[in-house]
Amino acid sequence: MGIKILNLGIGMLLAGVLSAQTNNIDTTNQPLNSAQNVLNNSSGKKFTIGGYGEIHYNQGFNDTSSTNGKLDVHRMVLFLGYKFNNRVDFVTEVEFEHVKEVYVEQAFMNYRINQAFNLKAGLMLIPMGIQNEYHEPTTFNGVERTSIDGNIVPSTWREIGIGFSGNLDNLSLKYQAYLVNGFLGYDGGGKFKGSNAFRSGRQKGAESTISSPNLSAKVDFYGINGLKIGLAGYVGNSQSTLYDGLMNNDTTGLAEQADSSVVGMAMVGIDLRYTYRAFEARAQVISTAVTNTKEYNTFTGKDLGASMLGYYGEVGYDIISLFKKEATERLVCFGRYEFWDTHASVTSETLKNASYNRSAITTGFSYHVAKGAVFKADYQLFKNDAEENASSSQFNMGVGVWF
Amino acid sequence: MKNVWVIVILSSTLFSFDLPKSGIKKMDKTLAKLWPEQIISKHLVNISNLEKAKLSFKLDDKTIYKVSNSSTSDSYIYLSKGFGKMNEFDYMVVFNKDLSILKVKVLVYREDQGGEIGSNRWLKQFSGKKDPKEMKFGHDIQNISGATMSARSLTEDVKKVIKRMRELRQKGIV
Repeated sequence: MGIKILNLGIGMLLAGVLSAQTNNIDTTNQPLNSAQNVLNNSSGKKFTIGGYGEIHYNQGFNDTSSTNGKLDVHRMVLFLGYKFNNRVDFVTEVEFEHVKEVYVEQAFMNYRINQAFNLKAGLMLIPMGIQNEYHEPTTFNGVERTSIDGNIVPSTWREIGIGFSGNLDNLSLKYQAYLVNGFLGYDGGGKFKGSNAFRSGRQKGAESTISSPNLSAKVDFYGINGLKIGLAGYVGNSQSTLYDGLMNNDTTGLAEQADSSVVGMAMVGIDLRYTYRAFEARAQVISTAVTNTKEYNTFTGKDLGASMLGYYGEVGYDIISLFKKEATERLVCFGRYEFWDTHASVTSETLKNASYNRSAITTGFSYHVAKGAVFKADYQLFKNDAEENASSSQFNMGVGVWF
Repeated sequence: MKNVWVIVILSSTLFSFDLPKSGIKKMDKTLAKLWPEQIISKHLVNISNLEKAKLSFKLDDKTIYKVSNSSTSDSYIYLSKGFGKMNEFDYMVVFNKDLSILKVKVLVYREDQGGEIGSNRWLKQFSGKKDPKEMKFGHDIQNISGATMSARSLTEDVKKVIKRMRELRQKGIV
């Protein structure tokens, strides 16, 4: 009898729930704005709201003059994800950089055919190295991102494209392969330059120009516990506005000009991340070969290098774990050596600039006070080949959050 | 009286673990690999509402299975869910009779990021574990770079599942 009463109780409760659901359906037929949609669906976990942010203090030092410091809300990013059903998601990240610049960092639809096969289309991060994809401030040491992931991999590097990704459980492999738009190398003037290679050519999905799609792919292996190794490749040509309106049988020399306004590029990256309890290490090598630089530099007056090379190695250790295994806070002390040369080689029209052969030693700590919240401080010593006996340095502090 | 029974059926349908067909297929395939060339029988553990009411947690239907085979003693499967960056995933814990973990398997993963937790090699870390205190994330259970949210969620949920199975054992249900 007791059981029957209990069942009846649940049944009545359910009848109420069903009735309430019916009422909800009635009301949701009314037009709703975006905010109402978010509120209505968040309880059903259709919407995911998150974000990350980092606020920095940078104080440079040099031997010959005084230097002002900089305080900056470097990045505030709002993440919005919407789950249409178990197979279809839409992911967006809207970024405020230095407070006043607004960008869309990601905006893509993911269609899950199965675990090993997802179709992705939209504005996506290019999988190259570590930080271009994983750049939330709690995921890396150092207040600023590494210099390689700025000057060689132009983080945050994202373009519109389409492709596939998936995980192969038995092989412990993740793959990504996308057809994406490339860098814009010419839009009335050359955009690439020797100091930071392709950085100024990022189109970021903003009314971007395409004359030739590029291929981006990465494979990650994670079959050894604590270790993740990635191999990435990117090949293609830069884009140019000079191809727009060019006649197929052009004999006026415009086709040659257009061909001189683009470069071909092949970038290869290897990265690894390793953690074992309190110890962590990561390393990355990025090598880029560029073709047609002689024609491009001659045509545009730029000094783009014919190859670039960069690498870094970093180790860190969580000191708190020495004293308290169960601590939720982590104090990771770290050291990193980094080298990057955006003029690793040049073609004959360009003079090799020794100041583009650079290195940095960074030491500091990341104090993770809660899951997703970190205080950071570090000191960086910079050198370049043009000033063998001189160096500059910088002290950085920052807070980072990811939720 | 008929109305009451209809509602009871509804209740068991609405509050049950809703595992997609692909997940059920993966579950059966995993069991077949665990005990190759053996006849395996898998059936739901029926827990009455009265027994459920005595538990300290809410237990959905179709959550616990008993697995029998010809060579070893009975095992149990507990189906549960974790959460990645923006989507939940379904997984199962296969328990030995002494409630130590025989295997953890991700059955349905629904988002692009964090799918690395499906790696069989990574999941092997849970095998043999019996005490949630031996499962500190990042220490006893190593993280996977780039899949931290899913890996942490799975680890924390497995701990919860162990505690629940212990309670079910204490109350003589499994």
